[in-house]
Amino acid sequence: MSITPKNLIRHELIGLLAEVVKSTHPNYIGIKGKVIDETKNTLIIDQNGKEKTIPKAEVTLHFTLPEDTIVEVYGKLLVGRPEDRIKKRIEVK
Amino acid sequence: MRARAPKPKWMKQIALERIIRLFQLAEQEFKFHPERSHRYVELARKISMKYNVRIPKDYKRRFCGHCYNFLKPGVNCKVRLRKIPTAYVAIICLDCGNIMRIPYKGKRNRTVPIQV
Repeated sequence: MSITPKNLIRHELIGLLAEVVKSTHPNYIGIKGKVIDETKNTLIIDQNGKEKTIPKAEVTLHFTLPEDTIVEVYGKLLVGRPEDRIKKRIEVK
Repeated sequence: MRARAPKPKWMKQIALERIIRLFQLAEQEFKFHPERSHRYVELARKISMKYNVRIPKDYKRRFCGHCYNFLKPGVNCKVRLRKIPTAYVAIICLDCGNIMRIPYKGKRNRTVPIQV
């Protein structure tokens, strides 16, 4: 299993610990938990037993990778169905 | 007609890693959230079909061939050894009733002779 910061956009997000740090909507900030499902535009995060649905395009997330590295990702780069994200996407700089 | 170009190796590598990861998660989540396990099997199958990557052998029989539910022996499936008319392992899904048969010894070795 090699999820690195470089291929995180293409890899499996389900099962990773995620935290919302920035958002256009204030109520999304601070949501923290394990990702349990994913659709084209949203991530479903399990926060203490509650399922929270957050739109990918509106947030910036911190993902905790297996080696305890934390990666900050713009949600916009993650937009797309999980099976479509494997194809390479052009990075927004 | 021009055939579709095959997907590059790095894409298939990531697809395989994701399929393995999804089945590991399905195993972990089954006890308290079986519906998540079924969903992870669905995602793994989609990735396998889209990138033409085989599901690893150890996971091929962990889901029902008819309803595609994640199977856990003792909870939602039965595993039996059957000998008639040939020797095979029967995996019976308790949700949909589908029986998957895996011959061991080879289909040619009938244990019950054919009546002439």
